[in-house]
Amino acid sequence: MNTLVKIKEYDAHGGPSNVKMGGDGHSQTSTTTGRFVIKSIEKHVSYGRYAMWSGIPWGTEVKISGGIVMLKLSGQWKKLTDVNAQWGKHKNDQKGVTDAILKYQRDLYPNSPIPSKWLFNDFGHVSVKYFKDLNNDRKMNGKEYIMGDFIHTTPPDEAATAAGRIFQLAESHGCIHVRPNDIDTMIGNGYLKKGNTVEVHPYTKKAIDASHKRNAAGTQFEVHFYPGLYKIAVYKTM
Amino acid sequence: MFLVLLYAVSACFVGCNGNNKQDSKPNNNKIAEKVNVTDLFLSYTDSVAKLPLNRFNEAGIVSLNKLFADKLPLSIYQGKQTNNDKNIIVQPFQNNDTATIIAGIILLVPKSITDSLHIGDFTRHFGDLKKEKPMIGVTELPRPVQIDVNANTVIKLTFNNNEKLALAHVTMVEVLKYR
Repeated sequence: MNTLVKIKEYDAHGGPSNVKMGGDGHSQTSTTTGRFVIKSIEKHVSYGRYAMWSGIPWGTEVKISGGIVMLKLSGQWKKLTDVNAQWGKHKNDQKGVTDAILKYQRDLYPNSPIPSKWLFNDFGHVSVKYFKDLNNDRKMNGKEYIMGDFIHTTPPDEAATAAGRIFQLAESHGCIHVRPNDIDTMIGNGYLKKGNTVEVHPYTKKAIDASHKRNAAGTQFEVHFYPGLYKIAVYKTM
Repeated sequence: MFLVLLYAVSACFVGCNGNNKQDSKPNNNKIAEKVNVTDLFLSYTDSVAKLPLNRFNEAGIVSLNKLFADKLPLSIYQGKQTNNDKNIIVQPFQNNDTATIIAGIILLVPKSITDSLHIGDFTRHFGDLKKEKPMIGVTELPRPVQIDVNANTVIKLTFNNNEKLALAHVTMVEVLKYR
């Protein structure tokens, strides 16, 4: 067992403590508690229910040419409606698609009303994905899989940060929402790193522990999320 | 026999009355508290919306906040943001010439007030939500809703997802002045 000592705290917001139905007809679940191992840190691309706005990687080049929204993917400009099947359903309504993109851009970035990059991916500029390590080998294998709860930012929070405006971290569908600057700091400082541990505490926990006894598995830092306190604490192995 | 019956009946009334008193007092207080903070917040938002454009800035907010100082926990953003669980943090901003919004004032609602502040409270006070064409596709977070206060002023509400929009808890209010 190792002694872990708290060195930093950051704001964070998970899912609701109890399952509830959102206005979009999708249920919001609590963030799954337990200890997990970080599998990857990457730009998320969604193929499920969010495949429209989140089916395109954050930061992809965008232009509007002849009233049609174009994206640069793998070095080639493509119509947005040719990128995936969900956008493809709107290929006969290019004006509607362009209007939707311009409106979303204007809502998020009123000072830059014409988009040049795709800043609409619901999972922000980077996502941290983790898995439950059932056999304790620190590798994802067997029946292990990436949890649906990522650590990520959101488009409104990214826009507010870029503009220097205040914002409130929103309740998620189960993921852990963090501030854009904080996720960069946590990645840059090596707190969030492939192979490191993420621990999600119960919602009932009402105080952040100053230290823990854990098997750190040779890692220098652990990130612990306290959903009932809306905080992430970073612990250093002593 | 008659005396026993009379005692039982009167004991029942005393008991019922006693319980009612005990139950109703905290409930009334709770309602009064809710009405108070919700109404005060709406009243403050109303005052922000009524600020003329030449006072729609930090100086205007400072003097307005003095009027509400003993009523609401107000603080002006000072450059460092942490998860606010006590104060309403206020931030005025100006946009550049390309934006259709000239200026705005953001009110960040602390969790303690969010719990008793619903979209429905705003529609009752300021009028119906602006009807907008539904967005293509689904986003993880619900898109903010707007209320047109007048030709140049809009209130934009960010809220936590809820099956019934009127009951959704408001987390952030933006009062926006359009060109």
